[in-house]
Amino acid sequence: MTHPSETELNDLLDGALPAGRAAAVEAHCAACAPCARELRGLTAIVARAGRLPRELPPLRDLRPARRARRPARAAAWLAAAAIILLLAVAWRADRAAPPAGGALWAQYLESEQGYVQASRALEAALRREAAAGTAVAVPAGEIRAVDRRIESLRGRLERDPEDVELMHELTRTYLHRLDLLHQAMVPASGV
Amino acid sequence: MIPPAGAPADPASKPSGGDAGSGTPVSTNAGGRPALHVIPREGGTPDEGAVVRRAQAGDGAAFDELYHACVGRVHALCLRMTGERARAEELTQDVFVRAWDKLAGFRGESRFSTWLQRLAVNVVLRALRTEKRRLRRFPLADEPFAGYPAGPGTHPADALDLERAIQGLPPGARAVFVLHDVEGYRHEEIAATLGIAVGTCKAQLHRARRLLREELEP
Repeated sequence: MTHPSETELNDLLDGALPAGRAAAVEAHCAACAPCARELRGLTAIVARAGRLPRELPPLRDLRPARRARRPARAAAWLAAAAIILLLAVAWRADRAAPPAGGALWAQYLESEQGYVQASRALEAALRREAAAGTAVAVPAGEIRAVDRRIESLRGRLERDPEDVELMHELTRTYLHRLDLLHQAMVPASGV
Repeated sequence: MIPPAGAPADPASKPSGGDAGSGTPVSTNAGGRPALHVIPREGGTPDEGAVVRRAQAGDGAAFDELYHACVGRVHALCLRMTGERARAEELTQDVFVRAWDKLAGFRGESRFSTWLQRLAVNVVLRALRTEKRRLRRFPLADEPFAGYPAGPGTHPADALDLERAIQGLPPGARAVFVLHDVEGYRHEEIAATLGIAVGTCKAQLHRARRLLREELEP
């Protein structure tokens, strides 16, 4: 038999030779000193590589400074997008002639649902981040005051759904509420 | 990029790189190259899943746990692929920054440590490609591997000799040797990630082993 090629010896070592050929190469190496030496040399290199430490820890702390958290950022975008829908409805109420506040108020309430859901998700994400120490706490007192204002405006709009100015005021209040939540997304110091 | 001999210039000519056995969808990095899928030499923490879920929920302390569990492997890869301690530290940090940003997308289809190491491979290869880095074939001015303990059953001097010899390999051969013989990836995965043919990948590995023998055998 002719001497196996370098590729065949490597393939034998890597278990990549067909069984029949592998047996022939092994038999050849058992009888051929130069090929046996080649195979031993390759085996030794591969074995040494396999014994290298898998872990080489860095000599200093490389933990990155974490930015504002993804969950809150994603939720904040959704809430902002929902606010835009509210603005769009209020803008259409401005342009309606004659005022069609009743129908627009119904649309507003529909869009408001999306905002409320997005806002709740944002608040939940911020609570988790505040607990992890990577965001400042939501200013609960201010949020409660804004919520009372929202409740009052909504009550008035329920009674007078054609008051477009009230609809604008409600939207501005929602924007203010979202701004308060955004402020809580500032990473806590030292993180 | 890692400059493998005979690498095709056209990304469209690269192999698909899918891992049919894992059931994991083929992902690609920014360069359009398929990402690695399997790390046979598994690592990871015993309660990795719970820690990952806490980190995904925004728990910074949980992410710290993952960092401490995995940073040694990530840094080892970066160090062996770049041969420079400062660069390896930069890339290691980059890997964890990206991991933090991408954590929400981790769906638990593989172990977190596998996912992270795959991310590390792609971060390192992308960096090397972007910088058009050419790793040198002469002894390094500093000793990036000095001071680390040798692996089990290995004399520290032997391990250091091998690390130095690996650093002396041509870049393409070195990348393939580290990924195959040290990290444990398969030729198909490495070839797909590097954008080379499997045959080229094998040739690079065989060349690396031959050069290492010439360097290390008495």
